[in-house]
Amino acid sequence: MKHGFLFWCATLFLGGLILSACFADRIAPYDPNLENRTQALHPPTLLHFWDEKGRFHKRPFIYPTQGVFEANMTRSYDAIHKKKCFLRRGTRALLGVQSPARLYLLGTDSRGRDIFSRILYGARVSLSIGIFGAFVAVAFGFFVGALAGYFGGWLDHLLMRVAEFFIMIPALYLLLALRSALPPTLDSFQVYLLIVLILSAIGWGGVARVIRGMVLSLREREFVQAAQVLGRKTPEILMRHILPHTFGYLAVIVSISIPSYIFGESFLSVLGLGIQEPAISWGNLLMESLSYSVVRFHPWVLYPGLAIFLTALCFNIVGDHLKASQVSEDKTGEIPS
Amino acid sequence: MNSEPLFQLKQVSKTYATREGEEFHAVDGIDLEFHRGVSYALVGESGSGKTTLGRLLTGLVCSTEGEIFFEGRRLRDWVRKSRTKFCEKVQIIFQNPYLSLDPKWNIREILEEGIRGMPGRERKRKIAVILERVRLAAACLHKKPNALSGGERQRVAIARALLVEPEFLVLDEPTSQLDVSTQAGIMTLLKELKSSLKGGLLFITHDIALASQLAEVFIVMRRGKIIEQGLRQEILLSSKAPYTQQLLASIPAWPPLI
Amino acid sequence: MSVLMDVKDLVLSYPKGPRFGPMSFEIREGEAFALVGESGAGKTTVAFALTNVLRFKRGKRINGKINRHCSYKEISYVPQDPAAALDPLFTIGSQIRELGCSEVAIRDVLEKVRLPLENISLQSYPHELSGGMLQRLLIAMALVRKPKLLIADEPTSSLDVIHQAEIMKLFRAVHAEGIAILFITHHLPLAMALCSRMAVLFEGKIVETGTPQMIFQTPQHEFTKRLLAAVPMLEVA
Repeated sequence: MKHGFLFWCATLFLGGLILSACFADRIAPYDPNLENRTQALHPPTLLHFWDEKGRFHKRPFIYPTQGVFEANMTRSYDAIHKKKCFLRRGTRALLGVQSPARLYLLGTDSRGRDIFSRILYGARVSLSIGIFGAFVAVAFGFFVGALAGYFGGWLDHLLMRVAEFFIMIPALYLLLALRSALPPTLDSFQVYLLIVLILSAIGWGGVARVIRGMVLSLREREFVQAAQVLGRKTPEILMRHILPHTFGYLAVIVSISIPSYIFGESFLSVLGLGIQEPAISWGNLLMESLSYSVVRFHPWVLYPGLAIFLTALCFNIVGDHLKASQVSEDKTGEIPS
Repeated sequence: MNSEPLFQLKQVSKTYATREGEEFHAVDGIDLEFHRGVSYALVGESGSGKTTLGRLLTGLVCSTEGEIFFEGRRLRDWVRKSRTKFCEKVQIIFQNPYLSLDPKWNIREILEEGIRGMPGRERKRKIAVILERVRLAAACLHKKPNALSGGERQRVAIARALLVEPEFLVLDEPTSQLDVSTQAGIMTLLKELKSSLKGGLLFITHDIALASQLAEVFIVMRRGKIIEQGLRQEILLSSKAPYTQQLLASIPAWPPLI
Repeated sequence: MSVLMDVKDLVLSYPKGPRFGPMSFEIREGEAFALVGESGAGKTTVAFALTNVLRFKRGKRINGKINRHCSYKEISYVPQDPAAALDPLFTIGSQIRELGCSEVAIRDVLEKVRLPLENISLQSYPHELSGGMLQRLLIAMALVRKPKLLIADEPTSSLDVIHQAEIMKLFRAVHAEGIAILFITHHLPLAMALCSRMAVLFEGKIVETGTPQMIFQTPQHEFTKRLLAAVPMLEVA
């Protein structure tokens, strides 16, 4: 099946995001933890090509800004139009701007840290938790499902009841319960691993069920029976004829379940149970937006949420397309009518 | 007929549980003997249990009651203790060539399935010989099954079964999914191959005309029970059983009565 | 005998898909006409074109002419797989009533296909009936509208020999009533036993038309010869 325009857009976005997360220290204009308290909650800066006289500049520029305190104790920033500061290669990154202006592509948070840089750094943690978590869950679920499906009997019963137990518990409570059962004082790497484990503990059950069902139906297919009649041993049949047929669906499951792992991490971190400062994740970036008054006057603190949304959307688009092509591939094995 | 039968079925039943919790007897207390070197036809309508009987003989399913003996030894023991050896003696061709070949593998890999213990050169030689016999081009070895037509696929399935040089072959409606002209080709091939099977064959079909081309002994089955068994001319010309007569009367006239 | 349907240079095609035609044939009033061909020859597509169902398929293209001398309401269709043609969620009674005919007419026509109301319950669901019964039911549903032409697309291919013989008997009775039948099949013996004229369809083209006798005794096209030779002969001795 040919993939559509949407699929390539999504793939491109995800590829770009993963690459820029990997090279965040070369792309992000500022250190994510660099605080510039004089420019807290700075709105996103606009890139200009035309100055106020209408002259065009090939290289985009921005105007430096100056904070002004308003009567209601909020702060706003006025642009100083006299001076143009051009975009150039940054001192530590690909992007930078001439001083005294500062480049806040997506604005700053309440401590004056650049949100764009923080999103890029946060992507490292959030994306990797999502991908890593999905892989762990799918690998474990696959293993359990394949065992249960192929051997059947009491083993199937046992494994499926355990899987159902994990599916049955509302994910949110399980997440909180598991997290609270574990010590709160852990360093950020331990927390990272812990979150991956917790999330995949929630997710493997569903995967195991799907894989078990596929293995059950594949086991009855005639080509598997043919292999049995030809004298092939059980593990061989499982490896050669049954599991290869589930790989396509595994790719679908991985890409569709990654968003839920990203959500899970964000959820824990927003509540302060996940990744904690100074480590950065999309979840703890969103802690900023927990306050209504901040969101009301400084909506750009929601940009991390937009990043989560777009990423989840793209993973879902990719997953849907993989699924569609998988279905059409499966159909070629059927009788033409 | 030889003294010791190849297969001996004693009161064999296969029962499935239906969704409503009732029991369904696909095969219901059958006594049968298959002798060496004889071609059998198993005739009956759908739901008569003929496919289940075929699978019972290949050890794919186990009987719920009764016992099947192969060369005087219980089939259960064959399957449990010397499965590889049994597989080299009894093979099956499935009904649907669109389902019986793994779509992920190419034809060479599919053919090698049964003879993977052999050294590479030996395998190559055998495959070349068998392709000649089933009249398939060597070019198809690198193709996947879905690049082949139904008839070609069935030839691959036949070649795969014959590569292990079985004594007894079960053919489970091998042409029912194919076009009439393709079916004729497969039937010609099967007639040629018949002589190479020392132990004989069992041709399962609902088409009596097809069965008459290949088999010497007819077994008529209905609702899990054997209605009648006998030589071809006995069954076709002087059958006493009303069900067999009904079956025979239903065959469309050919050549047409014009 | 007047012509009921006259197909002239009909070409049916799907983009990037198969192309069938051009084909020309006519179906006369009250005759049994067989269209014989193998899978992929375009048999079902032709049936769809004649029943006007093809209009609803996406991407199709119909060229050429179909001159009808009867309305679409006078054409009935019997499908290949009776189990797939009925909605499994509704009782057969409600599906018959959907045709919009009187109880008497239903009773009559069920009687005619030897499926009297005493034997079946209209409250039963399609899966509770056997394949042969379902096919008879579908023939009844086709007949209830008093068609002039009955198009049957491989009506026996999913049935056993005994049921096949029963259905064929039914078609003969329908034919005797003066209803024209377009019998689409891959099974030469059936076509030759029922029909007075037949056409052989090969790779989307009609390669031969004639009476069964002509085609059996003097087949012209290679494919027809192959098809005739392929029919399994009953070997008794």
